[in-house]
Formats: sequence, structure tokens, C-alpha cells
Amino acid sequence: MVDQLANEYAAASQPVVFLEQNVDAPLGNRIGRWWAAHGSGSVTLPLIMIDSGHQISNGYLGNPGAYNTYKAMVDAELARPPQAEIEAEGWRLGNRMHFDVELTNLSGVALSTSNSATVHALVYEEHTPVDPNVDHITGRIVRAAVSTGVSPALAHGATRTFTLDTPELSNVVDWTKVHAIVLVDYRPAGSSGAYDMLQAVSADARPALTVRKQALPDPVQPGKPLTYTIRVANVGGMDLHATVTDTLPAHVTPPGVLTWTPTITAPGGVWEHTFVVTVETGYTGALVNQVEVTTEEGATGAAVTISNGHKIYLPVTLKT
Amino acid sequence: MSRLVRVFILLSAALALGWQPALTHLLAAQPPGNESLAQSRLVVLETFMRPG
Repeated sequence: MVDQLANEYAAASQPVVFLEQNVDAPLGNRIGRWWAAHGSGSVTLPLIMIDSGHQISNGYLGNPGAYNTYKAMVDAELARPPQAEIEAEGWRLGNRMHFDVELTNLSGVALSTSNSATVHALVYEEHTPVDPNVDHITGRIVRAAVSTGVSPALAHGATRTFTLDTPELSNVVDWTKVHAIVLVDYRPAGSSGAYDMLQAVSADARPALTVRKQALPDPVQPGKPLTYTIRVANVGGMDLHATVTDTLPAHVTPPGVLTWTPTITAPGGVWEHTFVVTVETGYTGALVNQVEVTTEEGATGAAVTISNGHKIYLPVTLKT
Repeated sequence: MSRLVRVFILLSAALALGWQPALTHLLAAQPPGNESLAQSRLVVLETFMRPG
């Protein structure tokens, strides 16, 4: 039923994330936000918290009671404006995740340890176990929760950068289904009482690459060697398992298609390869060579070199 | 009127009518992985329960 609600928001492209933790082995300090909002006393599961405890619920509400209750809570939060601007980027480094965060405080008050202002990163996996009754209510299981306090104080309107790192994530089943969010929360009343979330953003690690290719010399003489250099750079947030395919032009030896399968690590890894072909004797025309890069992670790229081509300069316009 | 002067007049007219070079749009493109305040609040619902 919570699954149904989560799927409805996702289908409507609403900015809502549903996450789940094991109440007996909670990660980070997130469950403390629930208790800060509730206070002491006995409760029944599940515990539900929206925006760091701005709204909470507990106990089995049945159906459609739970659906209607949680939907009303979420819709009320969607109507609130964010009170911070966050730019966040996630990096998968081996089996850890690293986050670069830029926070601009728009809350109207200074954020500091005095009001428990904290930047969090939550890493979760879309995971539905074989047995739907086990470890499953939202299908989005939290795998890591890390945080850092806002200290020294961050004045209203001020911006600061933060970094966050998770420990090794040994509990991930499928890294292609891992996502992350970064959020900032604080205690509006000061050092006690319920927390409230100022803003949250997606911080998934994303695959990205650039491809460059060089052909030297240009022009190249008939019967002479032509040196190609391919350079693929990982400019994304995760290792790339690439397939590099170079289609050699006609009129060079050896002819055909060359393929390599490098792993290009993040952050900033570079794969570079140089090889030499020989131009056919007597051939003076253009030599067009294309390299294409695909990756298991989804990033793609291509580059073309034209040797012995005639240069002409054309005006470039763009219709918008 | 020389060809150069004609090109200058045509380019000036295009700019006056709001035409913008492609570079402007390339620079405005947002890098992947970032979200901005232009979006609404991202609501986070967290559940704590007992597996099984």
C-alpha cells in the first residue's frame, strides 16, 4: 500500500522519495529525528516520518487508512517551499560513495550546532526481496546514512560547501539500482523539539565521458605512416566499463575495425591509446576515421578525424 | 555597398531581433547531477519497520 503510493508519486513525476530502514538496525541518526518529534512513550510499528520529523505517524493504519493518511501528509509537505538551495553530486568510489554538497541557507535564521543544523546523505537501493514480507515496505532500502553538522554558523543567504563519505557498502545487491539524496535539516525551536527539513535533492552518481581523437601528421603523404591517438576521459561519478570501437578508413593498412574494452576509473580516469597505420601508396584523398565509445553504465561518446580534408569555414546559426 | 557591409547589417538586424549565438545556450546548460531551487521541495518519507 505504501508501495502503491510511492509508485503513484513516481508515475506523476512528483518530487517524493520513499525510504525504508530496519528499526532494529537503523543507520545514521535518522531514527533519532522520529523520536525527537514524538517524545518518549510506547509506539507501534511502522514508524513513519516525513521531512525529518515535520510530520510523523506510527502504527498499522490498515487500508485505505494508511494510504489516505500518508498521502495527506506528503501532499502537505509538497505545498511548502524549500528553505535552502542545495547542489549535490554523488561519486561512487569503489564500494563507497562520496558527496560534494553546496548549501545556500535561505531559512531566514542562521544554521549552526545551536539549532542542530545537519547535512545528510542517504544512499538507498531499489530492492524488492523475493519474499515480499521481508525487508520491504517501500522497495527503497537505505544502505548508508552519513551526516555532518553545520559549523561554524551559516548565516541566512550564505553558501558553504560540504563533503560526505560513506563507509564501504557491503550490503548492496545491485549497484545499478543505487541512488542517493542529500538533505539538510535543523531544529526550528533550538536545541530541542522536532526537526524540520529545509530541502533535499537527488545526488545520484552519474556516468559521463569525453572522447577526443587526433590524427598526425595532417596532411599525411601517400605511403607514409599516420598516427592516431584516442583519449577517453571519465568525467562522471562512477567507474566506466567501456567498449571503444574504431572504424579505420579505407586506403590505410591495416584496414578494418579495432576494439578495446578498458575500465576507466572515477574520478577523472583517462584511457589513452596510440596506434599507427600506413596510407595507401598513391592515395591523396581524405581519410575519415570515427571512434565510438559505449559503456555498461550508459554513457556514450564519439569523435571523428578527417585527414587531408579541405578546410572550409561556414557560419553557424542555431534556431531556438 | 560592399559585401562586408551587407553582412554586418544583416548580422546586426538578426541580433536586434533576438537571435542568440549557440554558445549562450551551451553555457547555460546545467551539469548532470545537480538540482536547483527552481524545483519544488523534494519530500522524503522514511519508514522504520521490522523485517519479516
